[in-house]
Amino acid sequence: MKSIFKISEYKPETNQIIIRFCRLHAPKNIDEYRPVSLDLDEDIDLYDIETFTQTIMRKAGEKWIERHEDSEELLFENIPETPKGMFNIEDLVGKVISCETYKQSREAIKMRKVEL
Amino acid sequence: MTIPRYKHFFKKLDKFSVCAIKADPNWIGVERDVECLGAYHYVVHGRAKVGVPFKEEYFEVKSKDFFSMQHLFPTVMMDIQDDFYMIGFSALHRKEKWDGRLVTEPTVMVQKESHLICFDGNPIVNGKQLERFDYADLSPDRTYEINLNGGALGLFTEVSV
Repeated sequence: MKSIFKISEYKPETNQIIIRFCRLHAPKNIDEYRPVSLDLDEDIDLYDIETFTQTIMRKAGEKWIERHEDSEELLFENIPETPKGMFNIEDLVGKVISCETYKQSREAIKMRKVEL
Repeated sequence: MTIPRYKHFFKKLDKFSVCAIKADPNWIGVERDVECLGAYHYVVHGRAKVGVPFKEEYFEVKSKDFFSMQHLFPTVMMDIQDDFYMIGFSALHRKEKWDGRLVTEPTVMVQKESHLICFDGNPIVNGKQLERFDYADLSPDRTYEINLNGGALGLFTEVSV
């Protein structure tokens, strides 16, 4: 997923910025997302544009983009079901299924619940 | 030169999560508890040194060991000695406290709802043969007949909320 940010203000007296984050393919104009005030403290690496971008996204961007995702309107057609019971691919056809997406280095464990 | 590789596995369930790592010899990894709330671990195979970065003290774990790293939090380092495979039991939230142990007795009764996880082999519980990553909820009103059958079963109970 690609993300974007836009700084709307820099306050040199307090070394703060007002910034907005969203996904590159967000459904709204970035200016419509909630602005956030951030201190340009030691957690933000101001060495160059690359380090600035990486650290600002790690410190704040990823969290805010996740919040936007959770608060965005959910289309009725996209409301997921939670299938239970034995796995059967035919039962899933036509259903909307919710799933977590993990970091690339993580793979899901195939666990099986057993009734004893 | 071959760069040691590792792979991380994860599954979030209703009341806890399970993670696992597979790592090559000489792989070194550091993990913070913001990323993992691993309460207990079982070594399927291999050996590793476990400690805190920049501290001299460490302990070694090997195949079939069941142990906790919670006392080392917030930052844990692992230095893999042999081809390594470890499974972990994790809380969902930092405030949760869990008791965990390997089952060794032929019969298990629990005082409150608990969870059984098959870490290795094919144990038989109440006549059902399990395999790795099978899990079950245990009720306090029942008795569970266990035949470890050379395998390993973890038993976990949440002790506070």
